[in-house]
Amino acid sequence: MGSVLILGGGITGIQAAFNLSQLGIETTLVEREEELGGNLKNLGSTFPEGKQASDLIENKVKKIRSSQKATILTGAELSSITGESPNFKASLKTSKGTQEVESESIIVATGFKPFDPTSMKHYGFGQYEDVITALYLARMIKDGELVRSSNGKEPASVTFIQCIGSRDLRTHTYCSCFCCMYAVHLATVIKEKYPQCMLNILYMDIRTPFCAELNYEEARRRGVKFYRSKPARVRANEGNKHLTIQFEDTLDGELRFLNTELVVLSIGASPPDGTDSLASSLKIDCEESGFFKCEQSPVFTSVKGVFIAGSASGPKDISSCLAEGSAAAAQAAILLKE
Amino acid sequence: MDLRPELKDYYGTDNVYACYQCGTCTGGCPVHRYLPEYNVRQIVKDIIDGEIDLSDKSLWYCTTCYICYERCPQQVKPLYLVQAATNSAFKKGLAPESIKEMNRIVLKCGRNSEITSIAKKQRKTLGLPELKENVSEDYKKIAELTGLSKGL
Repeated sequence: MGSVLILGGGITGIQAAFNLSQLGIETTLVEREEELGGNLKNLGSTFPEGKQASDLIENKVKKIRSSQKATILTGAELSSITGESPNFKASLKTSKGTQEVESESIIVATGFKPFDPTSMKHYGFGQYEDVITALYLARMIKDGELVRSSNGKEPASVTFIQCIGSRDLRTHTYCSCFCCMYAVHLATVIKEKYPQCMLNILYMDIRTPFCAELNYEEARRRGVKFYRSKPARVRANEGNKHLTIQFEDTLDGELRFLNTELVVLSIGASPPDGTDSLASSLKIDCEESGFFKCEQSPVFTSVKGVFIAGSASGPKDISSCLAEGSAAAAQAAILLKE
Repeated sequence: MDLRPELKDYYGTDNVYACYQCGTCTGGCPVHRYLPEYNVRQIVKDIIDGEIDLSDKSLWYCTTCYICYERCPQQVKPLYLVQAATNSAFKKGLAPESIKEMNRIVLKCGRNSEITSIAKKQRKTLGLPELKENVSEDYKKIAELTGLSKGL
């Protein structure tokens, strides 16, 4: 029986490798970073379920490692990929030199890259230390601390600005799908741990589908304040004592100047570096958004034996990534059986 | 009134529906800060809804600073929509009296303020040449073609 090559060791790739190893199919899981887990490994608890991200990753990785059929290659950069189903040949650069991997099919699970907000100058990112990304905040909370970079003290107030690098013609036109969910989740987690901390979320539309709607409700119940607005700008005041967010509250048309000690930019998702070149070597298409294009139904591409799963075809939440990781594994297994 | 059928003439497109009313325009508007009755976001919404009040004087408060134009995440060009509204208002004779008066003066003497006797005296003492009422033929033509003379 043939083998499957999985590109990307985030939660999607891990799920696919986990399922394929359960089926006894030979699998190679390739990750270019030194550690498995992708973007998920930066989170403490997940949204909307509130499970521990590390448990989600480690339990499955342990099972993959114990399987005789799976090989995990970390710190491995794909240098070329040739051939067609069922004879793909991939060449990988690792710390131990070049390694060749042959496979019958490929699962592309390259995920997303967090949006870099440097270009959004009016929000002061890179200019003021206390304007941080939600990813940075998530890492802080995971490490069990919440401090302002400017003075190392706990902030008295934290304000999230939504849709940074999402639904914006100058950056990405699409909705990144998960930012509302993580912002509501992080705000609730902070409120729980630091009840004195004032929490605000500045949003255009809150998109918390299905059970995440309950998290939204819970956040409001706990006193997180929601303002419907995309702010005009963020400025530092009184010798960096606090930041002032200038915005129009679109629900009552009032211009407001909200003082806050920490501004959190809820960044969206960009296609990861190298998506274009991988698409051309696999002869698959990309969407206008820059993410890989699925053909007709999820996980399928225009090329036989090449499947796409998770955020590689556009930003997705964790449970969708798990579902697509499993779906791609099933399709790859079906093809091997044919 | 419903400006949508005329939008292509004034705005170049009738596609204003990308606006999701986020308020970035109004939040950064230097006029709104001091004259809250001027709200760019609300003007865009009223145009989309086909309910813009062209007799509203606050439409004319825009200073054309272009902040809303620069920051709009959907590139709706709110400034141009405000101008579409004022252009249409002017043609319908709905412009404020002050705007109409300025245009009357330009059409009458070729300048945006009348030549006063004080100005004449001052120029004489300073040895500057005398000012003359002189409306250029080009300006008359522009006023006629654009409908400027009609809106008065």
